[in-house]
Amino acid sequence: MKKTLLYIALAVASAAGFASCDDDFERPPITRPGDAEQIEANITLLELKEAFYNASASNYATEIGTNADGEHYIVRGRIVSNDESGNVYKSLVIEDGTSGMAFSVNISKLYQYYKFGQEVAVDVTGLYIGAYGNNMQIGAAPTTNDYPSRIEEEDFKAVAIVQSDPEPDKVVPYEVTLDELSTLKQNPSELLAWQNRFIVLKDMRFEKPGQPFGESGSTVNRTLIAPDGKTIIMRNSGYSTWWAQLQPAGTGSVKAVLSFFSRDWQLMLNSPADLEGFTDAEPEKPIVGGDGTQASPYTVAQLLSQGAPSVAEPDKWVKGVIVGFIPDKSLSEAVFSASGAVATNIVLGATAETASASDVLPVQLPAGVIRSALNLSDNPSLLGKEVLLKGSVEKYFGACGLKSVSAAIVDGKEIGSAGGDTPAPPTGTVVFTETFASGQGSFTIDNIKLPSELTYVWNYDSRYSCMKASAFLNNTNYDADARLVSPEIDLSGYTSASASFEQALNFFSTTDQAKKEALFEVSTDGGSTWTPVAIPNYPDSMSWTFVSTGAIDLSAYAGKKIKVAFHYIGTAAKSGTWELNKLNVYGTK
Amino acid sequence: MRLKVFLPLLMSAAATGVSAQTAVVTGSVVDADTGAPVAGATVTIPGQNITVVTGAAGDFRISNALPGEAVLKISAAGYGDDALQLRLYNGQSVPMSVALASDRNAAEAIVDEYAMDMAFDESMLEDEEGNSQAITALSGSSDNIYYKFVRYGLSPLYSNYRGYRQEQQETYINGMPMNDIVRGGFTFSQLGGMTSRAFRNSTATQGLGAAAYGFSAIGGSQNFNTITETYSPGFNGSLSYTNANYYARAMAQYSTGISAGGWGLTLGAIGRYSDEGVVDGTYYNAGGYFLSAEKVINPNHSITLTTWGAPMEYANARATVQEAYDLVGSNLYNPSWGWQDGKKRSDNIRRKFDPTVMLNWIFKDEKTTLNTGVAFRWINFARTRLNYFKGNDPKPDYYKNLPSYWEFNQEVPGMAEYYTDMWENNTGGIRQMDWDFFYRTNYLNNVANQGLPADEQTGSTYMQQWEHSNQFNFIVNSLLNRRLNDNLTLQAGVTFNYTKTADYMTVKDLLGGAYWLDVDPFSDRDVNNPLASADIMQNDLNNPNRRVGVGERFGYDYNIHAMKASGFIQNQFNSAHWDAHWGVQLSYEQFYRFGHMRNGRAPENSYGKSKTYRFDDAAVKAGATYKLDGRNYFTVNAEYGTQAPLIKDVYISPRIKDKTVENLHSQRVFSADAAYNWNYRRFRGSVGVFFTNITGAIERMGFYDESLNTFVNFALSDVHRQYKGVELGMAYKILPSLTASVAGTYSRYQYKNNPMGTRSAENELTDPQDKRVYLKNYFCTSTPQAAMNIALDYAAPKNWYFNVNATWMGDYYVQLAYPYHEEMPDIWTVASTYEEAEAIVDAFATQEKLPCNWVLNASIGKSIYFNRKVGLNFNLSVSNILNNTNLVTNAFQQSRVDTKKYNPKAYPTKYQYAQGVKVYFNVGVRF
Repeated sequence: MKKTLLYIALAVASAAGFASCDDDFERPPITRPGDAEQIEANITLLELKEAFYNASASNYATEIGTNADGEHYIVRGRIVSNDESGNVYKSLVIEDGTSGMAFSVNISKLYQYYKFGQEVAVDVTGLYIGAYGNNMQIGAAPTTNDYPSRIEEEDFKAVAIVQSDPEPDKVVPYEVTLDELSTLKQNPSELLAWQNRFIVLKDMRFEKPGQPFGESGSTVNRTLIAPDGKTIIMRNSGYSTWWAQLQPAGTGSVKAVLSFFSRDWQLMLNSPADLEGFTDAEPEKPIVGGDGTQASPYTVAQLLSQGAPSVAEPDKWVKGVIVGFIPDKSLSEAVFSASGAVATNIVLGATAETASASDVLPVQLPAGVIRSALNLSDNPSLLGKEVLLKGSVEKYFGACGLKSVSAAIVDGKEIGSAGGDTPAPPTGTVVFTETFASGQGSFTIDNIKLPSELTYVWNYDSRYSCMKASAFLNNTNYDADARLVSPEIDLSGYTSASASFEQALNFFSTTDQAKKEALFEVSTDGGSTWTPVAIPNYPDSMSWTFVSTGAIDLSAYAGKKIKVAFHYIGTAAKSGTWELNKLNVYGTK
Repeated sequence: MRLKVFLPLLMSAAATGVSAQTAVVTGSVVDADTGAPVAGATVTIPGQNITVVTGAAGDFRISNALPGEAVLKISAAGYGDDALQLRLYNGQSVPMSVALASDRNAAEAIVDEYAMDMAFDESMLEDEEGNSQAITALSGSSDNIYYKFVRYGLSPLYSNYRGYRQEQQETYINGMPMNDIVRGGFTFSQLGGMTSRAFRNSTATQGLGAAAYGFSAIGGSQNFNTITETYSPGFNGSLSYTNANYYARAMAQYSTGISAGGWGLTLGAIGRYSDEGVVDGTYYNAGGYFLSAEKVINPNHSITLTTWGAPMEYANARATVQEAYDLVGSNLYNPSWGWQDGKKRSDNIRRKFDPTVMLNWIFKDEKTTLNTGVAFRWINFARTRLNYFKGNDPKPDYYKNLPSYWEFNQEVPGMAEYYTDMWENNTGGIRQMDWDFFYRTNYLNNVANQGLPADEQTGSTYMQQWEHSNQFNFIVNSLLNRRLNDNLTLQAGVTFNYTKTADYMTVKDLLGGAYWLDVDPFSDRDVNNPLASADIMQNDLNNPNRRVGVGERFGYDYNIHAMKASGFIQNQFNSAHWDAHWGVQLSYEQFYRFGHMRNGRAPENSYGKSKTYRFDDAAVKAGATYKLDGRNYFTVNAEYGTQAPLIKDVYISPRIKDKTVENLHSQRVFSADAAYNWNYRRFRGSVGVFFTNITGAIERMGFYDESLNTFVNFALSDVHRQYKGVELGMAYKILPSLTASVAGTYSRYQYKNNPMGTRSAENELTDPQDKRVYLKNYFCTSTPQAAMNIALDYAAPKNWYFNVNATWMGDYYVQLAYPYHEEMPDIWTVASTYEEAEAIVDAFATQEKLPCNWVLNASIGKSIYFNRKVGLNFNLSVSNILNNTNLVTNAFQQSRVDTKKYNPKAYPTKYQYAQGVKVYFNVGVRF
């Protein structure tokens, strides 16, 4: 038996040793970009630029051939652009110590393949080098334009081979001042050398701290100012993830790609992370104003701050003080008195004290009752009087103005026809307003049913400054159901209440159908249950024209705390599009 | 209790040509209860210093006994000792059969029987066709403590003996190899749950040991004996209640024994039923019959006809992601059903019915047994699946319905919370399928069809199909067992197997729609690909755009015609100190595919007969046991051979085309095991090691490839797998009636190379890609690689029996997905540093180790004998008493790689869990 125990012990020990050797798991290899076969450059970026520079054209494109030995031209540099946040678009900028070069490439997420700080070698023979607005760049053969076009993805990947891991620390920006830059651009060789370099400008400030970097959907110029007062433009895209962030206050350094357009330098920012030393800015104070209805007219300050609309806004009410007239062709000649006044126009100011041509709204007085009642020549006593005018907000004297005035209220007296087609606006004080002029505001979206194909039903449309609901995507109608819900609106203390907003309905099968699929609803329990409320005035037909709803009766909810919602229902049969803005809720005590 | 039975079957002394002054004793030792041969039993004549050991068939021969009075002593582990008084005559031979009774009491035997039934019933649910997770079940009486533990103790988990795939274990019935040659395994469901009755007479061979009924396999084998004469005459019935997949079980069997005219008959039937199992939306409905009829023509010849079958239909749960379980708050959540008209309806229904008819002619004389048989088997398997065309994936756990999708992939604020809320509060019916919606959608199609010309109408958007996987097997087999002398026996056999499979789909239910358009819904996305032919969506170009109705075949329809012939020969040598065996097996296999449809994705190689593939294979095995004394012995076995690839692995996409894995060749298998056994009155056990190397194997899987935007078939070739481990089993009798036992294993089942993987797009729009798959040292299969069981058995007086045991299971790994182990060159689109890239590769390639678990089980049994014939027994088993609901039975990675963001959690691992506490109560009667 003892022997047995010995055998067991020996057997267990040797067996355990046999099975218990643990082995490492094999991992699939990771091929580092830096392990790629190294391709050496045979020409610098500056040499290449100088070889193909055309001083006599701002746009051109030339095919890059082979060098004297019949070899392909190879350039090599470190990537200094980064399109991850969307400001840089389809452009890859590299720098090799002699200069920088922008490649125009048809890849929308270049950062996935070509990363900031990564070295890349590009065989440029067969590509086109040229300039757009005097900024030298490389692309493909021009198509419809006279500068290099975008290189297709496969073509570019075949010739642009990454040579290193991303080494962002090795990107050292060139320190330079605006003063130096203005000198450098005079010398063609320096101009070429500095174009598309990654630079740092120190002690810079933004011209308009607190203003957003960009505007949704479009590219804008913002101005940076150096201590010596010299300025440079920064081009910001409305497709970047940070366009809505505010330009900071204070001074700091700016790291960016130094680009060029026409005759001037401009900056291309990879991301606001490249701004250092600035302080957060207060947002620009919004200008208080109305929505252009009689109850809530536009103010002069509001219209001036917005500038002339690109499309005329007819039948808008504007409130202001008559402060003078324009005797001749130029707004700057505005006269701030009644003496010698012409009968064809007046100017409105925010207050009676307004005395600057840049602070007034020119008003055209059409012949008839309006002109005879309002012109300063015949009615000098109107100078300094507050008036309410109805007309078309559009460009006038090269600035924002009011034309085709059809009605006016002076001293409570109505001149012309105030009513027209506009339904009766609600009365009372404005308890809650949301114009949706700059976004979704404090409204929330409740997707009751969101098909997986759609990412949203409700969305802000910056082009038309409205909220838009639709369940139509890629030619397909979907079943969808979503509410746009207001914050709580406190109607306590009011004895009656109403609301109005403007809406455009399109693609619903009929207006009657739209009445069932585009509902205005009220909840008194914080949004758990909703009751639809009738909208008095619907658009007659399906179109993109905004029409006011007229006064929606909310008297039943006076004295309560409510939420209102826009309830959109899309169907797989036919999903309409609903656009709306300028919601006002009124209360009467 | 120790029962001795002496059954001299054939006492007629036959005079044979033996030399003077010696007498011959031949015979066999069998289990008194099951009739199974007892191998390794020691037969001694103490006064004459003669000892022999029984061979694999339980047979022995003593040819040098002295004439006169003699005592024959027989002992075997796990049985009570037996002794016989004999009178031996010079020159005469005495044949005899000795039946040894188990040293267990009757109650213990019965508890064991039902544990066996349960293990089979449960494993059966999982061993379905086409499932690479298929497990092997072990049967056959055995005194090996470790083997017994693997048989019962690990049943809640998928546990494959020594980690092998099912083809490495062979199942014989009456000496005929019954493994299915297409998929390699044996589905135990075909026995209908009658394992403790109709199929109770079985013999097992562990590991590489020698079997008397065949060449066996590296994972061992078992032989069920259904020859009528092996059943004890009388009636046996039982009624059981449990809370598992079914709750009611009834089984009855009657056996006549062999009449004076040589006729015998055994009849059996079984039923199992549940309208809803412990898991929501599951059900179980199964019957079964068994008949064995024998005519003993004369002492040398008998003929037995056996037929059985077990039609069954059941609905199962389906594995899903942990996120879904957590949201629902239960690991028994089942996504595979939904409401229809207020009733639960499953989409995971399986039907099985594998009727078998077998005829055996057995010739026996003093030294020879020749068993020749012929068998017919019809395997019928079908499972349901919802299909949809231009609709959304109807599965509730479809990844886009889960909050994580919205968290990871979409930047829509609030959606993740929205879905979380729906899941947690079970609103909007999100947790289950919505059958009413399927009907509504199809109904709307019908409405839209009104007034349209027939060719502009739309069929079902949603449809439920049967996926059939049938086989016909014809098997002829002849097995010779001959004793050459006292120490040497010979076994030889030849087998021929003809198999024809039929795989196709039929429409089960149009769900209210007008018809089903027989095109491939998933090829819809390829239609606009400039490389695609206009026919790419067609499933059958010979009948394009066919509209099918209920019961009609569609989708795919093909046969595999296969033939396999094999033969083996082996010797077994037994002596007082040495046992040895050696053998060789040769086999030939050929097969081809015949397609009945010309598929639009493979118009050139889908219709008609494919090339015929042929494989020749051979294997040799040998082993030896050295018996130090009667109590201690050492065993070593080894086998080396080649094995043809399984037909199921050969065709990369058999439903579509006859294309095969390239460079087809047989895999090479080397296996060895060694053990030390000891056997004292109170303490016995065995500790052993095994080592197996399989090289040149192929593996196959399919998944959706995001970078190619299509379904791909993935084949690994030249895979090297290694299986090694320690096995320990020992039992100590604290008191004669109280036994403590320990069994356990510590093993490693691993990949040992980095094989080449070939990815073939099912739409054939891209060329196959070869990429290395870095699998070296990863773990194979989802079997616990370490396990331990401690048990206490008390065989109390008055036929009471108590058992309590605890099982610990560990080193259990998630089933690998090959694409997670390939080089990912595009990883740099999301990683910006090497460290980030490494972290992503690590996250994909790390094989999740499932948590260790342990369960506590207990059983009570009681037998009452009214007289020698009439008995009643009760037993109650409770497994997983502590209600451990974190026991993963099955876990596999989804294989789909998120190539846009390389988020390893985008398509997470799917899990399936064992139910918690399970009660089994049984009442049995016999007379």
